[in-house]
Amino acid sequence: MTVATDALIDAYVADVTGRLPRRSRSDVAAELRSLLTEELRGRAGDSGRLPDDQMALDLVRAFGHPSAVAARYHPAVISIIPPTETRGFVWATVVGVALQWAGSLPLALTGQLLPHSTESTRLATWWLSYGLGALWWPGFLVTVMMIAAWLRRTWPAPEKVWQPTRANVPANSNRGRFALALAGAVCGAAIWIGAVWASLTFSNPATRALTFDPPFLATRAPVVLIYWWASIALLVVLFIEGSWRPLTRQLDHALKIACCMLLAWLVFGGRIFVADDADRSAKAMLGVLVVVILAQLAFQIWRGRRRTTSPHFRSGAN
Amino acid sequence: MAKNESPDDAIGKLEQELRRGLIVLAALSQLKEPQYGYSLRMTLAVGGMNVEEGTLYPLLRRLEDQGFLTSEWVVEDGPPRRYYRLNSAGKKLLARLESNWQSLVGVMNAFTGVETPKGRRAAS
Repeated sequence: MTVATDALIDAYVADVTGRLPRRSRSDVAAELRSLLTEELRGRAGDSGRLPDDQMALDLVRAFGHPSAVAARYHPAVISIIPPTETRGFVWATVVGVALQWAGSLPLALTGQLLPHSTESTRLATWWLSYGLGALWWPGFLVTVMMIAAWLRRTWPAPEKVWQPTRANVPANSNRGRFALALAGAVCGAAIWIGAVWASLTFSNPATRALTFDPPFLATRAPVVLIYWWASIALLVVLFIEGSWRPLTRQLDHALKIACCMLLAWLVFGGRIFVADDADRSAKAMLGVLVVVILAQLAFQIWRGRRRTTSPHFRSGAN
Repeated sequence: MAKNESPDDAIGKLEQELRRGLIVLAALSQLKEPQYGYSLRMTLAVGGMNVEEGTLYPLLRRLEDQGFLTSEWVVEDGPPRRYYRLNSAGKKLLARLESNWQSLVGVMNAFTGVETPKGRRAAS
């Protein structure tokens, strides 16, 4: 068994158990991992060679697509919403209704959405119109699921071949992406330094419009540069290593959090540009950037969270 | 037969369905003594019944969920393994399925005209 075959089996097991109810995931994951490992050893023994990636891939593909395997772990029932899609359905329903309520309730309470209702009746009027009306969404989703179930039954899809993804298998194939990111970071730093230099050196309408505020250059700009070099250093390490590992992932998270704090400091800590328009536009863009970075960070943490834990083992025979 | 399904596919599926019911009986019959998934699959294979791992392992979990098997993780000299064995409900189920199986064999022999062990034609 190699690290790569272990990782491949782990990735496959994670794909299967991710589709199972939370309470049974850890136990099924441990058993499936143990059995697949044993199967792989058995195959290797039969073929008279050591287990390799292709053998492991053939094994898990023969085992079945993760969605099909997960379905086998559920009781065999015919349902409009397949057991493995129930969680997604519930999420889509709750989020869809919540978004409609979140969008309509404030407007209704401030009188913008229901201008003819009085202040005392706005909530009741909202509930009887937009509030209950938002429930069209679960009905729509059920209808879609019914149509999907009918289509699946009438025209069964060809069996899918499982593919390990970059997200769940450590691979050395990320070097190109790291190189691109590194090139982008270096160019960004060069543009940033060039812009500061140009605004201090030349005096024409273009540079005047983008003249940096002197206190900004004295205090916050050097911190931006320090952050930038730290990011470039991390990208150099990633480029050399070729893939993520826990430490570099944690450093990346720390840098993203630092970046958000730095950007918040830039936005709220005083002027960036001397000109009002340039300052406002820059701060608006930085605000959007903070939201994007936070969303990306949240998604990465969600993707990388530990989905299973070890079950209770008993030592000794039966 | 579903649309876009060839006759060979349909036959394959029907054979699978025929075997699927027997897999439960075969597995239960070998679980009077504790076995883990891989060892059970090997035992069945040696006995002439090849069961795909992707079918057998989830089946064991379902039988346990249904209350016919008990299981526990055991660490011996190798990696941790989950051992399954029949519980009292499983033993009753096995006895019932064995009885059903004997009855079915007789019925199916009669339907298909297979000679019975006593050398008589089961059906004309």
